[in-house]
Amino acid sequence: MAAASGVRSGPVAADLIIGTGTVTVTACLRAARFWARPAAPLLRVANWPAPMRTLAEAGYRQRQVAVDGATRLFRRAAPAVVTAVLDELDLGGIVRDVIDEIDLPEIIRTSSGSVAGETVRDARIQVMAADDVVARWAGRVLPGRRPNHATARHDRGG
Amino acid sequence: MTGADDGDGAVWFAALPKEARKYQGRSAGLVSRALANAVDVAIVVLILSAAYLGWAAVRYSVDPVRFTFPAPARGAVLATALGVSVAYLVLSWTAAGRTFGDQLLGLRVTDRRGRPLRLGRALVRSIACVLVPVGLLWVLVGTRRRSAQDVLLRTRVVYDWNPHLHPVRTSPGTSDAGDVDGTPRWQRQRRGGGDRS
Repeated sequence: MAAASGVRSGPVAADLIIGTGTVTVTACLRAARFWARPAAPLLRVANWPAPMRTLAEAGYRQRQVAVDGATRLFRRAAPAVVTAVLDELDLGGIVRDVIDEIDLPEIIRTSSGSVAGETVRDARIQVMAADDVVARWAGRVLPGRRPNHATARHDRGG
Repeated sequence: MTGADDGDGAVWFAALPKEARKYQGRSAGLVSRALANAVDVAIVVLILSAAYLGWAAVRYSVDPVRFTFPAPARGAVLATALGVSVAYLVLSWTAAGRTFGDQLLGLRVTDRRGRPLRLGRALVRSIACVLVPVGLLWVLVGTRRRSAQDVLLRTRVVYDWNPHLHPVRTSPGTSDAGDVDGTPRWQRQRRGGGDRS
């Protein structure tokens, strides 16, 4: 029966409201479009009656006064509010807490110090190995000379 | 103060990498010492350059209109370079036991007992090193990795990555790091004994 009348299953009440709203808005738009041209002269301020123009002028001036007053009030109140908020905040404590939390020295150590330290350590180890290589080479090339690499037993005497 | 057993009975501070433990306190070879010397030469050149620029800045501030860069005589340059080099080496060896280049390469200059050089010996050694740098090649000829200056002045250049490093326990006669009393030679030398060089 519902399928025959074209209404599908679901929130029928909501569909009814949406459909009513759509029809109403469409009708209003059509009416506005229909009356727009004839009513256009009435919407021009110059065609308004003098009392209405006077009232609009007075309303405009009051609006200007109200905006200026609100702006002055904001400019006067905002610094005081911000100052009060900043006074309530312990910025130094917050900064100290943040620095303590992020452990800046550790970050610096891990980002630069350890890299530099490992580089130096690796370089030193390679250079010490090069010392031994050169010493072994000299031991072979120079006649009557024993190798004097650092770990050789005879070097332990200094 | 964390200790780490390296497996041969000696407990070392963990700051010293395992690969470096067998070298600690032993005589340094030609490559290490040559590289350290190269770094020190660069340091001296930097000092001389800074001094030259400072001198030029003073001249400019005194008379900016007639300023020209100073052109010192070659003899003056050589004498200044010699003086700066000797002063740099003497100050480094007597104050810290090592120059910046030595620090970078993990070396230390000591007397035959493992102590820092005193002023007189450091002065003579620095002059000898500056005037006869080729004496370093004697490291290859000798059997104990000593340069000509080391032989003449009874000094040593040893691997020393960490001057505050001491093994706190060793097993007697077990490792190449130890000697008859179980104490590494380089440590005994620091205490003033046991050097046969």
